[in-house]
Amino acid sequence: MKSEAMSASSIPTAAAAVGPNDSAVMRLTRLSPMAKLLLSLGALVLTLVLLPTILGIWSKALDPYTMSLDHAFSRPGGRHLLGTDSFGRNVVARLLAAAALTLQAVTVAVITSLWLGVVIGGLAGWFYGSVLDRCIGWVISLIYTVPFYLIAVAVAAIARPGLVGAFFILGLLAWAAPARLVRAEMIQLRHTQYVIALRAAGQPNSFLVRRILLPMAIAPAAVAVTLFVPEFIGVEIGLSFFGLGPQPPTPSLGRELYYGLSFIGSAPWLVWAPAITILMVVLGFFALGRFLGKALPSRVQP
Amino acid sequence: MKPKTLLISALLVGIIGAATFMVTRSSKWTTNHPTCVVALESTVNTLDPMRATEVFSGRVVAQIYEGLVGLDAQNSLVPVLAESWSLSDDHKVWTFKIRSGVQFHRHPAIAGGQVRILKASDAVFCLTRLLNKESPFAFAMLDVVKGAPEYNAGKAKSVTGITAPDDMTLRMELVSSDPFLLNRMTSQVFGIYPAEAAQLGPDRFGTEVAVGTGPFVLVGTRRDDNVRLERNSRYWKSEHGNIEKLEFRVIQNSALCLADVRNEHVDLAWLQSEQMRDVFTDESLRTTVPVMRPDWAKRFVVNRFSTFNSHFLALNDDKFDEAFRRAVSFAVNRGQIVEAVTFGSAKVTPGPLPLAMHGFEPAYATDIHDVEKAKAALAQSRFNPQNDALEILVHDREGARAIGEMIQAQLQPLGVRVRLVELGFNEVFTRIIQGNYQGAIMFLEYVFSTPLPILDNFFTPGKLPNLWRFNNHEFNDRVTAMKSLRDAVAMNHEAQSLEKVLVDRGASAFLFQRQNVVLHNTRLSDILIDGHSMLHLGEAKMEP
Amino acid sequence: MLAWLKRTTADLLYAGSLIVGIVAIAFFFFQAFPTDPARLALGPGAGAETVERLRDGWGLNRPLGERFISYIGGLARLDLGTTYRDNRSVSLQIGEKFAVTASIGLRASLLALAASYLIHLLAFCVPRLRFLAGGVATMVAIPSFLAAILGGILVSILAPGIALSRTGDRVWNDYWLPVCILAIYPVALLTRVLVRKIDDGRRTLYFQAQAAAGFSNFHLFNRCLLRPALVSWLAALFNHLSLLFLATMIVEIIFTIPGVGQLLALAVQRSDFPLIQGILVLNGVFFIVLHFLSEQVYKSLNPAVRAGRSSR
Repeated sequence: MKSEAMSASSIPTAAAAVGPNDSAVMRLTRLSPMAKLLLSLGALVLTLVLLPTILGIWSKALDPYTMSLDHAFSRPGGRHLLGTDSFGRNVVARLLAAAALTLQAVTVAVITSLWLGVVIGGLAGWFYGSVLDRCIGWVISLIYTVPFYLIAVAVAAIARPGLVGAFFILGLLAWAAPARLVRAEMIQLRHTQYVIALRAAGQPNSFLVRRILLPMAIAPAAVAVTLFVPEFIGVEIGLSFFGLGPQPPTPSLGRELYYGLSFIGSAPWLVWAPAITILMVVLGFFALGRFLGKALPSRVQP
Repeated sequence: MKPKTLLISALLVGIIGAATFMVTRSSKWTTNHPTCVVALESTVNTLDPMRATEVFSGRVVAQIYEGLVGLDAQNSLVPVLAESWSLSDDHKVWTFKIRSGVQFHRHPAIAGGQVRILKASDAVFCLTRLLNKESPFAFAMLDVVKGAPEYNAGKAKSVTGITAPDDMTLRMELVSSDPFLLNRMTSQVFGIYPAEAAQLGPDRFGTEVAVGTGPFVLVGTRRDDNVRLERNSRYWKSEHGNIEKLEFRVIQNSALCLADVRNEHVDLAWLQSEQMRDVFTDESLRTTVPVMRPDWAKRFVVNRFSTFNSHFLALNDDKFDEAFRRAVSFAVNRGQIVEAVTFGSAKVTPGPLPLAMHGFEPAYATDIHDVEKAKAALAQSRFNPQNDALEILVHDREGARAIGEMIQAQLQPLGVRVRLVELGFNEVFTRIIQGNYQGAIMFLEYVFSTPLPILDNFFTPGKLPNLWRFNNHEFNDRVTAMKSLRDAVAMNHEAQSLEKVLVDRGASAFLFQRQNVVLHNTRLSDILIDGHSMLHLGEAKMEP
Repeated sequence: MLAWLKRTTADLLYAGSLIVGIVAIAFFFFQAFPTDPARLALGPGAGAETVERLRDGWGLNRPLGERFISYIGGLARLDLGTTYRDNRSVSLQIGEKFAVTASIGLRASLLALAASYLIHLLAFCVPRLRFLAGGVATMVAIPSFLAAILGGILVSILAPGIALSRTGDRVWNDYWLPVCILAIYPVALLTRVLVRKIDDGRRTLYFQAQAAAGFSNFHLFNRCLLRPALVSWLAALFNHLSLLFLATMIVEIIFTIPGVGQLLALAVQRSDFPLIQGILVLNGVFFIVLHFLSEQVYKSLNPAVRAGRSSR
């Protein structure tokens, strides 16, 4: 978040062993064992979570909704890999569906914050020094200074816009970090020879902004937002734990854990299965984020 | 370091230090006995009986205050602060003799810490305050006490029907006779306290000052998450219990609560229905007498008490016709719900009137689940399964979500699509009151301990916002006629008949009534819970 | 001196504008809400005229602008109105809880500082334990509610003598279990920040020279590696204060600790808007003031920032 943004120019990155002009493939081969491990972990989790969504089919065995009261509280192993819940529903199916839903919600937040960040940051950077820039800077300061996660959660709890709505709200507040970066990039790019020449040649501003400046400014913003993803996932799982997630019977990771807690003595798998899934998803994305941090060219790094 | 930096750093440290410094709250226990720790599932928001709308606050209130009458182990009426009473010939004037020599708990803010004896004027003040426009419990007496509606509307300065002819006599004049008047007053909200206490204002009364006549006295200040009480050494009744220190501790997370009970950091806790499986063996849960698992049975005991409650699927009668409501009522398999959600800690009952009420027999003793009848009723209704869906609000208390999911599955064979919407408990309740709902899973803990006020207040229009929007003229007339009955047996019989009307007309789909299941360690014994779900520890004993 | 005063006054005014901003946003958001709080407060026992009378009593029928101004005036006096539910003073309720939350948050932060210091010291002195720092840093991704729940359950199983619920008498000495659990996130965070700094520090000539000169591990760690990283290390904590506060709130809810977080959860449950508003506003003000103070400290410690333009 903020610390990463503020330390942009002053700290040499940990990927110093890798030159700024190396290709991505060369970068991958030169990674440390730790980085390779992180990458594999992240990729594995992503595959496990995305595959059912991509395939788009819920086979009978992986149906998260059908109740079967005779098989309620079945232990893991045998027909059900991770057992069944209080209504006889397959735990694996519910967790997979829940993880897919998490990703959906987080994608909404990422897209919202990226889009807003680029537009607002771009405007602020283009009109650097103007009243608009000052106002936007003030709003960014406000968002950074006050606990915006808290506000987003409180608003979600009161307004109850559903899970996707909650993440839209989160995206509405998370644009500050990418906006700052885009603004900085914009300010720099405005004064390059290339842009000045194009302006002198009579190219309209809109062409410049759309085709040249924005694409160059988006890259660091996109990376900044990606670094938010583990936090977003944590917030989504937290929100659903406290009941602010999708409506029943739709499963969500946090809520499955919450319901499972009542049965911890008699059916502990209802706690451990969601807990481990949550850890895997969260750590997997964290690993991916760290990998991005090590592998990307230093210029693009926020 | 530069002096400026030093100054700023010192300022920061000073500010942070001042902000976090807090004088430790000194424990004002006057005895060294061990504490009996009781776990509550949600916060204690007030110790003002008039504002104690939630049962958790009520549980603590019940230790500190007493009303004119109360309930015993069989849920029948017993005199408490009213020693005796008499009724006029037309059954409209009740005269109570206030027990003499009863002392309020001592508090420096009340009578300078000196003895303060209970008087009839205190009872007048408290009953009047309950009828105030700000009181959430005004409905309990509003329709029956003379002058109450005028006072509640702000048109009068006092209630003409409640007077104290002398220090030890209380007189209540009614507009219509009600043989069950006293059963309206058994709940803990009718606790009596000195007028001076309430006049201290909401910031002090119910927090720092909670002065009643009950068996336990507040120690220190009430906190939302913790209230400590000490035995009242000047209690008017002689009791044989030995619990000197009582702590009500709020533990919202039920898993952590059970863990603390198990490790004996908490002595007594209410068992949630989902936790029944943790404590009882799987096979025995289906029987009438569940058996505790060996590791629990060694050091713990479970008691079950029947209370005045009803759990139901509320159906907004304005939105659905009678045939559809009956169809839902037939389609719901209550036995399956009780087994899968409450794990046997509830009794199936298709009607709303509490089974635990003294002398009352329900209209239907067993489930009325019948899929054929449900389909037939659905065919007669205007509900179109192709186009319409039933939206049911659920919350996270008392297994509402699980009940909702089961009903969703049970209505599926009928072709009725159910959409569940999970909201906070308060939100769901508010929407029910406002009529802004189609269906909702809800429960009620009744303040009354007799059927007539329930039928009158909840099922006829014009009193409370009618929760179910049920309105049937014949039913209303019969309820009015019931008020002129004098005989308790006749009343219970008529109540049974009226309950049958409610079920047959599908006022809502009433599901079951939960029992209070209380888990405590073997060091504790002789506890009692009455029909209002209130704990009585006066006779309870605790081994050190 | 005059320059310092000018700069500080400018910063102060800016902070003031942020405060007005947050108050305005909170106020208008809540007042614009469609739910009728009087109906909420009175519950089922009230008729329409009763509800209307209560609305009048609470001044809910006055024009919005007038209410906003009186709210700001009240804020200056630290009077944030009364709660809908039971008419008690909002600022009094928040004040009661604030010390608890601050105590827990502060203790968790101090614990985290100490723990991350020790972890890195250990990793530095014992080469085999180098993975420890990286491992702990990864824990930053664990959601706090998960840490709280799993922590509570594990403690109840492995250490039954430790109670999960507390009497909560001594704010400063009690609640150590939740404090330890709350510290997990900042420990991971601080450890993670130091990992980078220490790696960089080890590559500097300064460090290599001192190492070659034969100074002790302890000296090398504290003088050469930690000292240059000190400001960023502490700054990391400040920058993530928002998340730390959210984590504190979550831990309070799970362990039922009577702090501001628990109060907020309760207020949201009961739709008690003055209370929610009061908490968010006071929270915002607290963070703005903290941010302002930390910027002043940061500026006075780092002459480069002082001389240059402000980071805005």
